Amino acid sequence: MSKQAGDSVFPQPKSQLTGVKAALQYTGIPPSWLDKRPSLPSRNWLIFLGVTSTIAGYYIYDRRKCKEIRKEYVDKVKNLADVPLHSLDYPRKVTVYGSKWPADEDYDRGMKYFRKYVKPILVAAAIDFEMINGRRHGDLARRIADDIKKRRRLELGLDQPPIVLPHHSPEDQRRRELEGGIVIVGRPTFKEFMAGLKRGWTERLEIVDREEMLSQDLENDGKFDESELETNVVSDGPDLDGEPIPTTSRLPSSKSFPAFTPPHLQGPSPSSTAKASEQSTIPASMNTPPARIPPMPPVLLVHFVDYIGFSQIPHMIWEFFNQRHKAQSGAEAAYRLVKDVTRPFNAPPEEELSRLAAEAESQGEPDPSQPHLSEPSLADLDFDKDVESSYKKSYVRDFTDVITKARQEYYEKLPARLETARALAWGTREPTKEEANYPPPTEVELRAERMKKELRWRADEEGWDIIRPGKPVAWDERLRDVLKVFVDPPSETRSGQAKEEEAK
Amino acid sequence: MDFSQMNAAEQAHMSKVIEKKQMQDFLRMYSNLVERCFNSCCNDFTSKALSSKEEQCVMNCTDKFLKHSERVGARFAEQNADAMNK
Repeated sequence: MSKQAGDSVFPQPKSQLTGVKAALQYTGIPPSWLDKRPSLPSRNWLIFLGVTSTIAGYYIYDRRKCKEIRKEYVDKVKNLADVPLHSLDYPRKVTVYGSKWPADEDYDRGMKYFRKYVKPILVAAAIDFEMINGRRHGDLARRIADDIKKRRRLELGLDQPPIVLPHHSPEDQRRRELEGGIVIVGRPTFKEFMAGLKRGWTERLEIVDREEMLSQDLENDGKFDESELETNVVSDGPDLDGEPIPTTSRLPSSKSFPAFTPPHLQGPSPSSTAKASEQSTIPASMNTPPARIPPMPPVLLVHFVDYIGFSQIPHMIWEFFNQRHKAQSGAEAAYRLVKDVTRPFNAPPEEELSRLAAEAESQGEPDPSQPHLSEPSLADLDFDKDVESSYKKSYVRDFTDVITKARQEYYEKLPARLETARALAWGTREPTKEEANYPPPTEVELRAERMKKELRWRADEEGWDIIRPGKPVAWDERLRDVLKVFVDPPSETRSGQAKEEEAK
Repeated sequence: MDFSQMNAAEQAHMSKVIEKKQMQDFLRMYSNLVERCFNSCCNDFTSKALSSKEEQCVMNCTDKFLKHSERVGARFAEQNADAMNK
């Protein structure tokens, strides 16, 4: 049979094939492939693959290390979870405090760190936790102070004890609280915690409704007075010394909570009369701050930095690829909490502290970018001090100015809006077309708005005063014997680095 | 259930109703317990008798069930008390 044109020809490879290739030539693979030598891809491909696989590989390595670290610590503690517990008994419970980091709109970053790196080990050890987070600066301090005051009131018998369940006596609760612990994530939280403690144990015990106090404050302000426009314009914007009203109740600035207002300035509301009667019934003996503070559960200080801001982007990138360090420190902190080895809080002697406090107050706002290297170390009060240099500089510099400016602008615009509101309310003029479609705020609404703004501004200023880099950590001498800190258990430390570990 | 606003006959009636409900709840719990323990402990029907392993399993099962229900009751009471206090 001769080969006609158009017959298909079995493709022959150029060289004689041996072995596997001899069989493969019949599978339909193009024969030119069977002849080729293996070779590297081109230079450009090599560069691309090299770069991507390095980055991907490092990422994968880091996340695997994270998992390993977590698993290692979980395995160390998980036998605690199998300890039998009586059916009416409670597991160990710790309270976790977190707060807003300066310049970060997300107030939850500290808590997120806790949930991601510390919580898995606590869950494995069957330790219960309660998470308390502050939404704005100073929120946490206020809450802690309020809780302490509530407790003081309860112990002095000023309040009704809540419904007590049979197995749930208050002594049992206190005991369980002491066995538990307190977790503090980050230096701002630490500052707020100490400020809250100090306030709670120093302030008076009356129940103060902050909004009531503020509203009485603002009433004296005269911003809403129906006086001439000129006098309104003349009075200073942000000061409380508005009009020269002849009252004796010039309430001081919001550092402390003034407890007394003269009766003629109190509104006819029942709550304020109740308050007035309450203020007189708490005898001075109960109201003075106690000389000793009852024991407190030990404190776990967790190192945490939140990188926020354009100049911190290299740090953010580094952290993205090196989360294993965070996992390691978080897991170590959790392990310290689980193992429950404590030491007393290390605070420097009294004279040094008072001297430093005076210095800090007199200096006002020192340059926040420089950590105070020249000052003597304040031991535990210096927890995480270098973190403050990573705060966003513009935020630190401008915080109070922003608030003052906003206040000024608001009070400048206020009289005009007040005029329109009053004119429309009294019917002295007809609403224009835009005003009919979009009615401007009435006087009541304006008052409410002003109240809201003032509340927020004052809370922010207070909170910032607690957290700002120049301000030292609040300290009370009574706390010296009461505070304890968790440390690394002795048998586990590698070459005895216990002191260094807890400082981080 | 406020007994202060009812007279004697109504109180008797209410307490009978409550007792009946409690009995029902108790029996319901019992039947739940039996079902759970049977389902989880007895899987081998090659013999009619209860082996010692199954015996042990049943004992543990009843113990745990009762302790569990006690604990759930305690937590529930706690939550209720919290809600009332708030």
